[in-house]
Amino acid sequence: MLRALLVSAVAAFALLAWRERVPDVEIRYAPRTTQAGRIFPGFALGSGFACENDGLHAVDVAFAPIGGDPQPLEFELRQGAPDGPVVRSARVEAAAIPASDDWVRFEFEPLTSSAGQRFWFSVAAPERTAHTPWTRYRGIPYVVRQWGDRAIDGPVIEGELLPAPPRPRTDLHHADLHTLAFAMNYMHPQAGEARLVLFDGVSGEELRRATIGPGLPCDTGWAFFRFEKLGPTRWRSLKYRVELPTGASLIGNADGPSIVAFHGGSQVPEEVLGLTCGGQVLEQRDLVFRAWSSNEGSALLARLSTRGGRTILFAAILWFLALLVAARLLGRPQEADA
Amino acid sequence: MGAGGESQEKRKQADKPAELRGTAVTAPQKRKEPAAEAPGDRRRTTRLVLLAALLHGLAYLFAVAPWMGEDEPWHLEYATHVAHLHQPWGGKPAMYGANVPIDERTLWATSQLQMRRRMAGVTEEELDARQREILQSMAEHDYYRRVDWAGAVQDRSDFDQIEPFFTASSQPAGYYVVLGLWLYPVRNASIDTQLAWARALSLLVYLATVWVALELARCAFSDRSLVIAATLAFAWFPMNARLGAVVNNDVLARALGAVVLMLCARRLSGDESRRTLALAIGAVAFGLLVKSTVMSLAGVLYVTIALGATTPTKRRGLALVTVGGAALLAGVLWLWHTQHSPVLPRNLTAFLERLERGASPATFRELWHTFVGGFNWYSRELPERTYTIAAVVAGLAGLSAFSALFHTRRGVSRRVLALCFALIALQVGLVVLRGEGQGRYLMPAMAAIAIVFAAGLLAPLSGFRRPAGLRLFATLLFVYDAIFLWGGLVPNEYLLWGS
Repeated sequence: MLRALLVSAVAAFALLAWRERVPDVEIRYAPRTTQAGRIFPGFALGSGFACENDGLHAVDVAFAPIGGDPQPLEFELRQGAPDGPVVRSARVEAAAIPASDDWVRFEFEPLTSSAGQRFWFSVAAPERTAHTPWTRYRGIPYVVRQWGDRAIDGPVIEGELLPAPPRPRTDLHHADLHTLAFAMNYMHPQAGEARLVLFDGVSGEELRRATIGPGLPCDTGWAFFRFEKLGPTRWRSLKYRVELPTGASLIGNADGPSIVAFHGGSQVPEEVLGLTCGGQVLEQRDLVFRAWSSNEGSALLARLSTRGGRTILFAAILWFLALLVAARLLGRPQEADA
Repeated sequence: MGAGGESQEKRKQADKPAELRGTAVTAPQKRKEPAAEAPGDRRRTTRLVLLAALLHGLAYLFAVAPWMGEDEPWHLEYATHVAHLHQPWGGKPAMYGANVPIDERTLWATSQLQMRRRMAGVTEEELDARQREILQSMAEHDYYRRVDWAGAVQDRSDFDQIEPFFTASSQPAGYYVVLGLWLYPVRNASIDTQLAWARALSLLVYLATVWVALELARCAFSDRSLVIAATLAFAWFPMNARLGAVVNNDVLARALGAVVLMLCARRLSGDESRRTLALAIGAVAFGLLVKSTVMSLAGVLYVTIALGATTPTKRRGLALVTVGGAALLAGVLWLWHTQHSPVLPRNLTAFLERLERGASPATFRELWHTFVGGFNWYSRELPERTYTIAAVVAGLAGLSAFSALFHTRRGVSRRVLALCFALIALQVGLVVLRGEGQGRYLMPAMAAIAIVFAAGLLAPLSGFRRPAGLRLFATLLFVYDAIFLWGGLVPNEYLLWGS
């Protein structure tokens, strides 16, 4: 019995040790594929979320270095709406931003009654940043071509999405294509629109059109062209034409531009509310972030109870009983007792 | 001569099966000899082991959330089609290429075409409906919040949208025939019920395997403490217990591994009955129809038969087994080839690439991490120091047990221990050949690993210290299990969700 209690105490300690490690909300996105690009002055990037617990006190945003001089980052937390009242702010100096792909933490005075509230945060910079936040686009991603090593200049870039063969692996594996993301080198917010036109690869018929901007800058990031869902796209041949505004170029390699195709549904959990760029809400994507609220053991157990319910309780009881029975094997043999 | 004769006698004693040695053959010296199991204690031990394993297995059955077993959707999909009496052979290949009216790959997901190629008579609509049913259940049970690489999008229409290149359809049919028959009574129930039913079979197989592991330990050791240590090491090893709570063909592969090893150990310990041999051959043959990772068992069985071929008649039998075994192996390889098994490399270049990948430190790291503890489809791990500590303990146990092959340890059968080492080496070799380091691929050798742990950590102790050693060993094992379950599995599956 003593052994079982001792081991159970270890189990309880191991479980409660998680109270410091469980964020309130977290975009868990691995491997990270698409980044938003540099933050432009006046075009702060942010995200919205609904908080589960009281005591909201920090937000971490995933950043990756992409070259240049680091800039300080200004953080604002607004309540209720993207343009709601600022309830907290924080600043991270340039020297404190990690030199590698890592979280940047924005800490602030805890909000005592944050449970059930909606918050929107934004990260701004006085100059174009040397770091990019990661984004998660809502769709089933399929990497057609990885981030490349060269610029492909415009103003019009055309290409094909092809099955295998001739490709070693088909460019379009899934049905229900709704977004094509292109790696973008430099698209200034005032430069005008970027356009994508999709054609059938065989008949040449125009199938879809999509535009981005103006007012949505993208530098060393992925530009997402979203259009009405195109159903039959498995192993299909499509042609595309990208029209770029002045100064912008795509990134790719010798085979063509870097592209990620997004297919299928886009329903994600309700607690994430979408990305903001300069005040515009872009519901189909989120920044990769995590928000930290209460680290009380009771909040942890409440979450366990909500999500695990009775099955976890049964598991705990059975596990303890198993320990008790197993411990009986460790005593002296029955005959020796006699 | 005298010393040599004594040493030989000790070896003979140690190598006898547990039933034939112990108190009756070598009377234990008080407080120095290890305690053997008396018949009454033996029955009590068996009952307690099975009860403890049942409770432990049930705890994992409740704790592991639906669809948290690696590849569970694909395995269950396969078995449910068998439960609807579709034969897992003779399906319809996909049409594509230059001279076909339509490229079927444009119409159906690759995973559906692969399953159609396997299952006779199944329609595309049936395949689509089953995948959608499973995907809906996965979304309802928050699968996408738990598995980091799967993404958070919840509305998906086919398995390709989880991972484009996964399939269970290229696996041998043995496990799915067993599971399909088990699911037959509930084949029209909800997919959640079928999942629960399938997991219940895994629990039963786990229990049976624990019993086999206990019998194997009795062949390997005449000391009660070592027997219990090995059995607990098997039953309480967390990733092994967790495997008893998920749907996977590794469940059956592990059971067959334990069975064949136990039968071989019995044969090495003097049981030369034809029944034992026939059972072992049958288990190996069935194993080759279950999963390629049990190929190692054929090697262990062959070594066992070869070691016993001491008379001209037995040598002739060995020649027969060699020819028959080679023919069986060729047949199985051909079968795997016809079933598009990814186990077989396409050409020499692919084989060499695979070998290089399999022997790389990254593969061994992954193998170790997913053997000691990996969660949420291996997308999350225990703290790094846990793997380091486990590696140190395993290294010490392995070295100590290896030394027992050359130095007499009371109550330890060196021949059985050598057989266990042989199986482990073969199993690791298969991982290298396959080029993929996943801990569950070691599971056919799990019973052997448990024997090595017990022999390595407890056998060096003198007889009267072993019960105390067992208590410490078991306590540390329980603590490991506690950290795994309550500090790893439960927090990762229920507390840390992606949004």
